[in-house]
This record gives sequence, structure tokens and C-alpha cells, in this order.
Amino acid sequence: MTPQLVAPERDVTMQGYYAGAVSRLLSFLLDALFASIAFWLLSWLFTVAVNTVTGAEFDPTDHGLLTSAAFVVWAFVYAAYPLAVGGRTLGMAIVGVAAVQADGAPIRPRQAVVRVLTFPLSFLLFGLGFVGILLQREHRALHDLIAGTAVVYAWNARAARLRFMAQRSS
Amino acid sequence: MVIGACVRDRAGAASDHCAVTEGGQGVSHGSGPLGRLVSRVAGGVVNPVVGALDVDDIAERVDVNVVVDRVDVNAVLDRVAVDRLLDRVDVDQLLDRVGVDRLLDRIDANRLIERVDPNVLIDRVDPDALLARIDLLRVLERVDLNRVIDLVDVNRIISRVDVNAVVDRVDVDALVEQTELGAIIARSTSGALSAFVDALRSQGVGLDGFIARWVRRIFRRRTEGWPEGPPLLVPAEPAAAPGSEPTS
Repeated sequence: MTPQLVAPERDVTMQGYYAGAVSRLLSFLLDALFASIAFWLLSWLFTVAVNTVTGAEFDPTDHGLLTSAAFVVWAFVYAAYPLAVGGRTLGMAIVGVAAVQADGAPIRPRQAVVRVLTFPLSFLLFGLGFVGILLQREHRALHDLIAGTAVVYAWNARAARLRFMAQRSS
Repeated sequence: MVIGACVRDRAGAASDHCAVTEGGQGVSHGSGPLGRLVSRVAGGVVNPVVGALDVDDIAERVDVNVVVDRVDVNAVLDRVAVDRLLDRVDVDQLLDRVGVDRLLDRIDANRLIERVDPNVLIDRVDPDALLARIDLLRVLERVDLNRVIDLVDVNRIISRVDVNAVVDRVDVDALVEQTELGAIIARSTSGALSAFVDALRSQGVGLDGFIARWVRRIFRRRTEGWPEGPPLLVPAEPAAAPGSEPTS
């Protein structure tokens, strides 16, 4: 008997519940991956454009501080903009979680900006800010508490359940 | 031959005003020598003659049908005071003697109905009492449902239907499993990527629950009464938490 990778009935009932540590870690890792890949692509395009226009040999690694600052700005834009518009980043969308206000209402743009800006604070003291995801009653990390947000499961679990049933019956 | 007078009492007293000849022509007894002569003769002759007549014998010899044929009925009716006549009629007694069924047979119901104002009739009808006497099943058997449906504004009905409530009552599992819908969904949405994402999400939820259970055990925390989600997304009723046993 093959192990069942999907529990569609449970997933349907879990929508709107506070997301746990594994899902949030997965979404963060995916976002870090996508943001890095996108930054590498953008920096490569920028380098090609500068070299083509100026005819000089421009290398981003020669400007470490500038490149790091550019990465921070890019990471902020990458996370804050989709969060403010849709309540989730690309990694959160893939994993199926979303950031909402503490009462469950859609997140406000200002809260999205605050959440992204305060996110690095959760890394301080060996990531103590993330402990709240495990221990806090609403599974909220430090940056969630500051921004007044929470992270919940939010994907179309009914459609996933239909897909699962369709594959099983076909 | 004189056969009678215009007005004559039962005793045979003749009128002083007129007499009728055999030809039906009236003879005036007006003033003048001839008139006075006739009056004198009539007074002296007619009364004894009339007194000598056997009226019953005359009546037997009269052809009544001929007399009736000569009567102008319309003129007679014109002179009858119908209202006074009706005042003297006992209607109840008259109705008791009427054969209602025979009367109804002679009535043209359609003409009667054309003269009826239905609104006035309806205003006087007690609908409850009427409905209590109606066999609705028999009525429905005579209804042309197709015509009724043609008259129905389906869009207006649908706009009043709570479609979500209807959909909630549909057994989607049975629908997908017993129809080709499952194959259609599988063909249109299944793919390696969507299957991977579904598995990733579902496994993430499972691992979240696993981690939460172990954290509770390690820290010996009791989580009863903790919210499962934000109040706007998850009702306050108790439900399965990520750390609790799923209901799959």
C-alpha cells in the first residue's frame, strides 16, 4: 500500500487555521531561493546592460557593499509588494499560507511594510523571535506581533480535494 | 243582432253608453233625437231580453279560442299595472312550485355568465370556505403544467435562490465518482506540478501538526481553549487543531 501524500478532507477543514512552523519555514526558504535567483538574474541583466552601454568591464562582486544594499532593497520589494497587494509572497502562495490581520481580516499595506521591515528582528538572539511560532497561542512570530498580523493556511483545498478524487477515480 | 253590451254587470244591466253590433261596430248613444230614441228603446227592451238570457248556455256556445285570437294581448298587458300585480304575488309560494331543474335546463349559462361582474362576485366570496370545499388534486389533474411553466419567470425565481445553500447540499463525492466529471477534472487540472504542490501543502500541514504535538509534550502545555485561527476565519466552535488528530 503506497503512503498517501495528501489528506484532502483534513486540509479542507484546516483552511483559516494558524499555520505551523514547517509550512512557514518552507515558505521562507522558497522566498529566499526565489528572491536570490531573481536578484542574480537582475544583477546579470544589469551588468550586461552597463557593459553594453558603457563598454567598460563592470563586475558587481567588486562592489560588495553596493550589491548588498541592492539585495536588501530588492528583498524588501520582493516581499513587501506582493504581501501588501495579495497578502502573500510567492513562497507563501506555493506552500498555501497567507498573512492576515490578527482578527483574520485582509492585511493592510502598511502592516505588510512593517512586517517585512521587522522581519530581520526575529533573527536576533539566535532566532528567538521565531519561537512564538511554536509556543505562542496564535503561532505568531515577533514580526507578526509588531505588525499585528498572523499567518494562516489559505489555499483552495476544495479544488485540491477534487483533483485528488478525480485522480483516484480515473 | 245585438250580442252584448260594452260593459254589463252580472245582473245584466246594460250600459248607457254603448252597444256592440254583430259586426263589432260600436254604436254611439250620443245626444240627438235618434240617440234618445235608441236609449229609450234599449232601456225598455234590452234589460228584459238580457234578463231572459241563459248566460251559461251562451258561454257554452261561444268559441273561446276565436275570442282569444281576437284579443290584443299586448294592449291588455299595456294596461296592466305589473308592479301592483307583483306586489300581490307570494314569491316564496311561487318558487316552491317552480321546477328548478327544468328551469336551469332552459337557461343559457353562457349568456348569464357574460352578464356577471366577476369582481363583484369575488368580493362577496369567502375564499377560505371555498377552498375548503375544493378537491385540489382534481383541480391539479386538469392543470396544463407546460402552460403554467411558460408563464413563469425562471430567472426571477433563480435570482431568489440561495445557490450556495443548494451547492452545499450536493454530494460532490458521489458526483465526481459516478460521472465523467472526475475524468474531466483529472485531465484539465492534474499535472506533475499541481500534484507536487498539493502534496507539499498537505505534507506541510501534517508536519505542522506533528511538530505542534511534540512541542506540547516537551513543554507539557495544555492547549485546550486556544484559538485555532483568527476569529473572522475560524468560528469559536471547537475543531481540530494542527496539533490534534486530524479527521481525515
